[in-house]
Amino acid sequence: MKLGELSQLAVFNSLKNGNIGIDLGVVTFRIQTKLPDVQRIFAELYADYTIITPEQSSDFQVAVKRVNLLRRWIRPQVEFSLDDYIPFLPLPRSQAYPLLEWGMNWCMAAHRHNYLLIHGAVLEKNGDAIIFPAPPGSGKSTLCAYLANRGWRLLSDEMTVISLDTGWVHPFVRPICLKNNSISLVKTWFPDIVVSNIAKDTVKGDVAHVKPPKDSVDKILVPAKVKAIVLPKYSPDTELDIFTLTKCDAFEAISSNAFNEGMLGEAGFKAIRRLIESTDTVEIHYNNLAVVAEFLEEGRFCA
Amino acid sequence: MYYKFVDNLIYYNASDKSGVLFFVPFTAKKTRFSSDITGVFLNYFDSSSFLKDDFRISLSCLTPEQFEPLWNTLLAEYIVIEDKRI
Amino acid sequence: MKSAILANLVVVLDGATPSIQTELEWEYLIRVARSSGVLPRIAVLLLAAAEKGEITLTDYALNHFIAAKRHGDLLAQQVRFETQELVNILHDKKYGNLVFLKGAAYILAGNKAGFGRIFSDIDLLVPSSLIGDVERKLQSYGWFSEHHNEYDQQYYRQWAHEIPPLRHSARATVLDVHHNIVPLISGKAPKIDLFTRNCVNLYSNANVLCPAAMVLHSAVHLFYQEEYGHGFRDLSDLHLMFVEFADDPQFRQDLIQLAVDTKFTAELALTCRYLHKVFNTPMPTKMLPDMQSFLPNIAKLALLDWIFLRVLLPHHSLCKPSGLSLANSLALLRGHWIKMPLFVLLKHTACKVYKGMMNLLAGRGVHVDNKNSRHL
Repeated sequence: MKLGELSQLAVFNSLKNGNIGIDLGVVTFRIQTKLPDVQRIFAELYADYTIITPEQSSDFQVAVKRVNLLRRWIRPQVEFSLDDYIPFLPLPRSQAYPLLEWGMNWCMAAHRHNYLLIHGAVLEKNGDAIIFPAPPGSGKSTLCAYLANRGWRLLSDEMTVISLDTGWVHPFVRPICLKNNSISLVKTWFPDIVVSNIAKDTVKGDVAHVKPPKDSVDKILVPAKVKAIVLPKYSPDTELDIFTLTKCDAFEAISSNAFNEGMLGEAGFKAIRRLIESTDTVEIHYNNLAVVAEFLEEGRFCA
Repeated sequence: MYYKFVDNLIYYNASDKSGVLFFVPFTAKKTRFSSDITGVFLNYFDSSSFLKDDFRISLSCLTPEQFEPLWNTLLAEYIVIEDKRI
Repeated sequence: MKSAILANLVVVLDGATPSIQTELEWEYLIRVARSSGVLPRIAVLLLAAAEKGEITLTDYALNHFIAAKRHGDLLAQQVRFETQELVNILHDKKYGNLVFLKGAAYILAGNKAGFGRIFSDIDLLVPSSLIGDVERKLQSYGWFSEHHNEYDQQYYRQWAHEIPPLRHSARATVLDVHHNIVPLISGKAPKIDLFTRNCVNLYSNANVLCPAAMVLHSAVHLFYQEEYGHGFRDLSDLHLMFVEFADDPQFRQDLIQLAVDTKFTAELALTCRYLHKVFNTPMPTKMLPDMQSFLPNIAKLALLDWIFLRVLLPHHSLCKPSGLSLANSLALLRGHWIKMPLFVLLKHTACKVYKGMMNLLAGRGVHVDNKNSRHL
């Protein structure tokens, strides 16, 4: 059953009681919140997802709630919890929804050591997946939103999940996180997309979340083989420059973007080794997304 | 004093000859070396023990000034350890 | 349901097969274990049992246990590496025997209590006369004092049994260097030689306490705490140690003798009592008659039972005992009380209360030295 098949009231009640969860394939989350804005945005952005019922087990039980302090009436705050544990300092009330999304990412990165987890987006077309590892400021989220709405299947916009057994990438489809300028850009290109409220003044600037394409969510259980690794760097004066990375440099690039390489030890090293040997890695400097998309669709990544 | 390469060393010998990465489970760290040097290293991976001088000689492409820092790195990173069997 | 989760947890920690039929029961077990700090420990035990065919794990449970075991493995690797590095720095004869304690020791010694044991700091015991030299030598290798505020520094150096924690500048590992096992100001600090004689050598000058001393130290430490978030884990350490050392014919005798010599008979008696009540551990159960005379008077014992049969159980909301909040507060008071004389206690408490109030009014993180809090 999909979340969107329930009445809004039923969804809000279930969220209030922590009776509802979602199945993301590689992980399941049970969510609890009494905050109306979080309930509303969640119901909208996760409408296409399969739910789990109170009788089913969930991997992580998360909640976002107001902080119970004397200061709650002066400058209210919200906090995220995983089960009985609160991992972060509180954030301002207006950032409640992004806090939920970031908290869910943290749960994966800090606990799900059954996969190699890489900071970056991954999308697939014609059976070939491309990983876009990306430190902040690379323009990855905009590129990701662009490709996702141009026929590329989104597997994830933040966290690439790689099987330690097969080396294939498993979808971890979630609402796409957009920042600052890219919010209005993406709205102009794709007027029909569903965007959450904009949370202002976060540590990342203005932040909004976009509902992922239904097709991507429907295929949440379908893994893909990685063809290439592309390191994007938005560069206002360059239409498209492509630089091939040596395999050793590529290893280091993936390693520095791996959330849990240390935790995986030997298994992590071997997984990255397999990934690098079976793919090509390039760095692209670009200012034109359409040109980038063409390059990626052409599918030639080695000199 | 005899030395050997640590038993459970794992490595990645990049197929484009851009280098070799060694991973040592004891430290959980990886160290990168150039491909030409590591050709020599690989000969020692069958856990045979060696003397420092013999090792230096087999790395004939390096000057003594280049060898010492390399040797120190191998020891500091526990890639090469004393062979206590001898 | 509460007691079913606890019963399963105790059964698993004892190395036996839990009666779990549904996936939701696995979820509850995993959540309670995680919050009590024993998830990697039960992961090791259950994965081993599954390997031997004694139990079938569903994919759900298997995934969580594999991931948790990796966490335990990482800590074990870090301890072994850091110990080697410390030995490299402090191997000179003048530093004598380095004695590792608690979690790090269990792992280094290959004890049952070490498998899947998680912890935040490495504990090292050195003679008090060498503390200054050790600290200086470590500093030249990048180990620096964590606490910068004067009050904390003074607290540690004047009153405590350890110097302020040292943090490695590059690796962020934290090292607690002790010179005794309980604060000097408590008036109960023993002659530490009584603990460290017969210490077991691992290699070079790295040692751990002998079994009797290791168990007694753990028992004393259990009853010299203020906060019991790890109480259940620490009690389960003791359970595993008693099971492991039961084969050693000298162990029981040595343990009791050491407790008498160091005047920690009450702590040993309480440990046996609570191990019996929670884990039904064989040797402590057999020792109960001998321990009877070491227990406090009936009234005091009733209060201690009330407190400890709450704080030494898992604190997770799925199975927490009623009255846990009050028990935690009483344990906190008791912990402070036994560690320091009244005038010191009042001064220390006032400072902590002030900090607590600031947190309440202005939010966690108002004290910038709270390094463990994450910013997103």
